[in-house]
Amino acid sequence: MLSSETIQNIINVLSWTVLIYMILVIIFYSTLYLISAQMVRKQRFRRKESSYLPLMRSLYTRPVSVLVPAYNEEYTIVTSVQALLALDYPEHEVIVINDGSSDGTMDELFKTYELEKELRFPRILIGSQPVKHVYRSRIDARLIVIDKENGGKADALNAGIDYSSYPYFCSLDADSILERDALLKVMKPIVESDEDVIATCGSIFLVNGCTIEGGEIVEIRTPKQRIVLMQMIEYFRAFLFGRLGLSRFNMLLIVSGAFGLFQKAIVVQAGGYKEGLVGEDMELVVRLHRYMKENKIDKRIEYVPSPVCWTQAPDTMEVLRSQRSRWHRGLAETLWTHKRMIGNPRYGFVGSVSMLYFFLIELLGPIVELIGYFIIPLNLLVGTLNFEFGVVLLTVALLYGSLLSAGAVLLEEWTMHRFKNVKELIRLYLWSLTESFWYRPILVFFKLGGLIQFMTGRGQWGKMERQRLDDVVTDEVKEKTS
Amino acid sequence: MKWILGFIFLLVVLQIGALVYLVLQKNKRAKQEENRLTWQLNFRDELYDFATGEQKDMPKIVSGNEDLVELELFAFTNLTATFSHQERIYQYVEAKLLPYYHKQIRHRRIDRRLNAYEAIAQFHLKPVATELHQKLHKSLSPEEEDVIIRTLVSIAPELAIEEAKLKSHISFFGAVLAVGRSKDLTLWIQAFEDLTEPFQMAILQLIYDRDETRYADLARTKTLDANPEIRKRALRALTRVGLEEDWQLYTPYLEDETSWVEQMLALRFLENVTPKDSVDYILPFVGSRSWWVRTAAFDALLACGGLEQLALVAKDHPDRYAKQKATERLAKEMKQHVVI
Repeated sequence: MLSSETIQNIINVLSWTVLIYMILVIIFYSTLYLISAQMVRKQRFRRKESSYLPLMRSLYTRPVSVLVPAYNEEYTIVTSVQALLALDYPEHEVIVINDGSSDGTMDELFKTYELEKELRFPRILIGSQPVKHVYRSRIDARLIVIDKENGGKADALNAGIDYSSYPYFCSLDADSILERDALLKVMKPIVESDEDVIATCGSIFLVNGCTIEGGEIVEIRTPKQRIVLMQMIEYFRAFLFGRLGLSRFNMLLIVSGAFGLFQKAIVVQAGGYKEGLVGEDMELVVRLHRYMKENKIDKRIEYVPSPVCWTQAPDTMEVLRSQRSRWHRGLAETLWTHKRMIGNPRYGFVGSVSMLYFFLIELLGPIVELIGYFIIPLNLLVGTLNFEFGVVLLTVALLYGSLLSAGAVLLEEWTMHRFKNVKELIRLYLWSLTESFWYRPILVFFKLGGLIQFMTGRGQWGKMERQRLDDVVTDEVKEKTS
Repeated sequence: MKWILGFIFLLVVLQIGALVYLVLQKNKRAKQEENRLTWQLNFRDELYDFATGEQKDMPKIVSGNEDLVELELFAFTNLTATFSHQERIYQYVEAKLLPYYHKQIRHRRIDRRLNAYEAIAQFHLKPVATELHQKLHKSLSPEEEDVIIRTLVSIAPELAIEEAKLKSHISFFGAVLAVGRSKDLTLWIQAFEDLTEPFQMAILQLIYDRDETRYADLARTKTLDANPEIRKRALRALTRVGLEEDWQLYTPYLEDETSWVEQMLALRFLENVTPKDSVDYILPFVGSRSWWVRTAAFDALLACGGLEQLALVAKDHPDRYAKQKATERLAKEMKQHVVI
């Protein structure tokens, strides 16, 4: 048995760890927030259309292949493709990669776009599971559909890269909708930097609650379900200040699989998407950074705050649990794969700051948070902590977390003010204040689940229940009306 | 303990303060937007009447609505204005908005300044040219410098050319956008040797884009430039403005595998100029590892040898991959897809 002195010592060490960790997190997030706010402020009143119009008109935009891996996406695929073909961009092709779907994804595409077989001989740059057939639409020749055997998302994207015709590709989820000028905006830093920027990504927001017509978002509203609302706030926080701040110093480690633009050549040189991982999007970006540093290539990966990609969020706790466990497992896998970069100054800011941040704060955060939830009551129990001090400490942690989320809502209103209704904005703000009290602890458990899956080598993709994109809206409206 | 309580108090105040700010801002904006929209619609009619000459008096501007005026002026000049309309719009801007733009280009916020520069270029507001030129000698962000140079090209090209002799850190794309504002490149060509590299490359690029055959001699000379980037741009320009005898400028690169850009340009030259007996030059490149070279080779083959040559490659070429690509291309050209 441990003596009471040993127990007290253990509790002391844990308490100090949690306290120091908390201070570090507060300092890091506050710095990130200030940097992002400064960046947002600089562009706040910039006339949007004039800053990228020359690009639209110029001959120098690079053609882009939009890659859409689809696995059982029969409800969303047509709306997504419709929106992608309608993008404002001088030259692009849309490649849907059907990754062995067992539902009616192919039927929907056949029916809507009158596909016909096409003979294609790609030079295999990366390789993938066998491709059964390649189709092209008779209605719009820019649409190509690759029907291949199931191999996972990374494999589907690799097949898309092999079959793509253009020097840039944009990876996109089949349930996502891009705003019409999104591609143009993410291409802007690439062209303006004379291709010193090799990958870009834009903001991703949630489509739940919005009105879609003809594959376009026409009205933005807050979702009814609380967990979706909380995810909306989380997305604001992640994109409007997390990624923006990291991007400022070329430390961005995530170009979301839902919407990212890449230079094909460098992705091929780095080996394409790695199969067998759940976080293939993050792994690719980390590998690109690693490849660039090891080969002394001075290129950048940038985040563009304004272009918007809309995607569906899980609306049940079960699906959310599965998604977050998967994301956290993906994070763990990526960090494990590239563990030599963590804290390694050889990899510049990416190694010494960004990888360290993702390891200490993002990966280990849930463990420390969990300890934190128990350590204060435990301290109070064994009498090592003054009651008032414990309560105060807990309050600071919770209030600060809420303030960050509320700050993200403010940033949204400050920059984009997409919510026209003041009541909706207040609702969003007030819910954001509650984040630390219930939503965040739930996520801590989900993330810990992902960590356990990683350590035990178990776990699978889980199932995301899709709805037709227009149904997401209809259901919301019905609920609101009733 | 005290400082932690103070911190909590600060957090609560910040949260409440942010909420109040949010509500007030949103309500204020909603009210303002309604009034501003009504004013904007009226102004739009008046502006149209003035620009078309139906109304003699210049429309009045309510202070604080200059951004709306700007929006209307942009829309009008971009979409519907004729040359005479535009002249009247420029006069209007000079008479009514000059003090506003003077103020805007000195604004402490970069987004406001950038918007102002673009408007100045769009409305040819020449009286601010000297001030803009002077600004370039202060410490500015690269983006702002780019936009100012672009603006100067629109309102005072001679000042922009002076700057183009000094600024070497502008991006190629920035230089193209700037030089591209000049409809006539003569002034730029005269100053070519003194310009910095990005501007020289931009001029050669524009000779290509605009098919400026009168500057073919400059392109020819620059194909022998010591700087490989200038050389490539010159070779590219010649693919469009060159003559058959210029082929000899490309031949040194055909054997060297590392010169894939030059090889691609040589093939583009053959595609555009189509000299006789050029198929033999093209055939070695149809199976190139480079997508750019391969695509250019097929385009050139089609232009010089027609579908017949493409069919021969598809049938007999020793490189299996080249055969496959030729079949694919043939199918595309025949406007029918091959059904497996």
